[in-house]
Amino acid sequence: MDFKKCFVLFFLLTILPWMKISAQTWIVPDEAKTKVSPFIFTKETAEKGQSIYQKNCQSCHGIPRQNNPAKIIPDPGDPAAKKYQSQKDGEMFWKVTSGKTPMPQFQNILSEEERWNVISFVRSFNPEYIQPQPETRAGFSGKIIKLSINYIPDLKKIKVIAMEVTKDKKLIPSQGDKIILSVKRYFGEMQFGDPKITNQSGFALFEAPVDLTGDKEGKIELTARVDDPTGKVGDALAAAILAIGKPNTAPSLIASRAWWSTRKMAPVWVIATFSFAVIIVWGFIFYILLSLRKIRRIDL
Amino acid sequence: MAETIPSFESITHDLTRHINLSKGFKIWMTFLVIGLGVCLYAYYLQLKNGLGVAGIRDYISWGIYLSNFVFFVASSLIGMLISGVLGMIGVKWITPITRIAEIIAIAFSAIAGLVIVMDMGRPERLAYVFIYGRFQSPILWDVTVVTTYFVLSGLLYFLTLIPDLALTHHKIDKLPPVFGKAYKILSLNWANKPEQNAIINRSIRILLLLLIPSALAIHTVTSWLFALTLRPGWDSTIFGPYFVSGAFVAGSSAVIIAMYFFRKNYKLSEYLTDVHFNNMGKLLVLVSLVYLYFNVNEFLVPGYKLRRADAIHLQDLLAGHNALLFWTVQIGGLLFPVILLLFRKMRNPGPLMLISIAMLLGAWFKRFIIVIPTQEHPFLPIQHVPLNFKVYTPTLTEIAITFVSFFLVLIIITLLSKFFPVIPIYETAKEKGVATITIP
Repeated sequence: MDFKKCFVLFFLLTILPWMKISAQTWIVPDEAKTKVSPFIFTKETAEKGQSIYQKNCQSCHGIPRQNNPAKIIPDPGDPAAKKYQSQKDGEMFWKVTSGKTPMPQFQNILSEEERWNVISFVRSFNPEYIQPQPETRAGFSGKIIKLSINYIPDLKKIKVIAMEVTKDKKLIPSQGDKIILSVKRYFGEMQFGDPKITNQSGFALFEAPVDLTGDKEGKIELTARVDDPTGKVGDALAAAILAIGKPNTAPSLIASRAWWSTRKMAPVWVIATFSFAVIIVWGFIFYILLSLRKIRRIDL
Repeated sequence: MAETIPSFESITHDLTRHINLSKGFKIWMTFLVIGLGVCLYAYYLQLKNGLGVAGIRDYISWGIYLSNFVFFVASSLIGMLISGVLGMIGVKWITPITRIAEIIAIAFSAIAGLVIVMDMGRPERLAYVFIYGRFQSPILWDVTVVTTYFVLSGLLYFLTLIPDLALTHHKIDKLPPVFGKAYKILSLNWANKPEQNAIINRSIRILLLLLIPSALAIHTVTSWLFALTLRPGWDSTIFGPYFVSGAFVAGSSAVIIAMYFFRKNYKLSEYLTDVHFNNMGKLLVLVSLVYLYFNVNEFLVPGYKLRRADAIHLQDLLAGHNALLFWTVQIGGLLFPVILLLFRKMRNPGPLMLISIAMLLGAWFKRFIIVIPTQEHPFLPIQHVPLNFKVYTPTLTEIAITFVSFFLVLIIITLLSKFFPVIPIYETAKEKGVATITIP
């Protein structure tokens, strides 16, 4: 039996039954099921969603209505099919957000708005779909929080302050919010230790990093947000640039002469060899072209 | 065997009688021009709509345009082997073949550059390669050597043509008179004077000396476009000689096919004899065996070690979805023809031409096998993309654009062989021992 068949058999016998079981048990928390889109689905939102869908979803789920999902197990299914359309928006949103192997988790890949756009696109294939009333700002029942980031040099700590905006526009400390602090790196955001819960004064204290490399001046970009999977808190976000990292002193990779460097910083011997070869060969070519004129003159 | 020395008149007559506007030529050219026109429309579509009309995508971004480019560069190398290496060693039988080899070299190297332009979404930016090109980049080296090799081949072709133009300009009576005049101008007043011949001979010697390293450079650099990456299937230290030896197989086949059709259509069987075909057949066996040797190295060495990435690549090539093409090319386009060519009868013009066609086709698809499968296996997994990003299939437009290059090459070969003597008259006369060479 060849290797391929062995592999397929192994796959069928071991992984498949496990997947089949796990595929049937995708439980969505009740809280998440009731979540609705913050905006009304329009043609524009569906179009935005289509472009996101093509890049992130189509390779497995295929083109909606054409029933051409990838042939993998568990079957990804066509999102225009009843199996999908019978679910609530909140269920879809939760599944896209959290994922479940082999379905990727899109929490950190797509923003909330982008995820809702995708659902808007998928819903556009269902003529019977009636969108539930979006949670607009006016009817927003949760609490509105304002965040700020401060650095306490004495304690070497980063203080995130959460203040609740009351109905009469007053600010009071917000207690018990889960704050996530992250730092911007080359590729995306890196979470900064564990999330912290705000205390009575609305403070969450994070240890300042001692060995995190920043830019040339040691500046790092921080972002604080409230961890709020159920959407009970309005969009709360704060960003700050603090000079608390290690200054980046590494020399630029293109500062010295090297193969990978810019044209100006090519190794001298490479420039010399290339130029020498070109000058020699083309020198001879021009020499021959000139001597052709001589052939003509000899007869005259 | 006492061979009678033919008269200079009869040689000139034999070697210039094909220079005319025959009906066959007109039909053939009409076919080529119409074909070219149709395919150029495909190129217009690409210019208008962008490279998306081709099957190339983010992962497999080098498709048949690039494998075709490698094929064209490869085929052009034969000029160096025949005129350069064999000519300088002093091999006598190649005299009537040298110019054919040069025509192949000129046509293929000229179009090789164009094929690269076809692969550019913004062809008007070609000059940027020279303006902004980095000295460290094989791309700059590649355009430099391709241009140089084309100029060297063109000059070599022209220099050996000068005496022939002078000897025949009054005989071109079947073409409009302007051709005769052009011949006279191009002949540079050559009158077989020792000083003139001295200049020509010295220039040819210099050109041949330059031709050998530039030909090696052109194809080695082409191989480096691949081998200077870390990708399985390309990451090889023998890619230079592997490409060069493969180039001689493609070029020799192309020359044999051209010889066959020139001999038949231009009635040159007295000059391109069975001996020439037999010798070219033997040369083809030699270069094929060298290429076969490099093939064994190229696949056995990584196949023995089976580093993870190489294993995936080789599994696909030898037993996966590229296996059918791979084995067809290796056996049908290389191994089997070589075995056939070991028999004397197979080196007769007819069978040899058919075998050469198989080998030339094999050579084209071999470049496909070298260029495309590697890109199907990047080091990072391909994800979140539609199927046509993962598996490369050339589109009809892309194939039509590729045919632009074939039509152009055939047009150049046809024009050069039809309007100028395809066998060197002066050299042949000297070699056959003609006593008096009359200069008009």
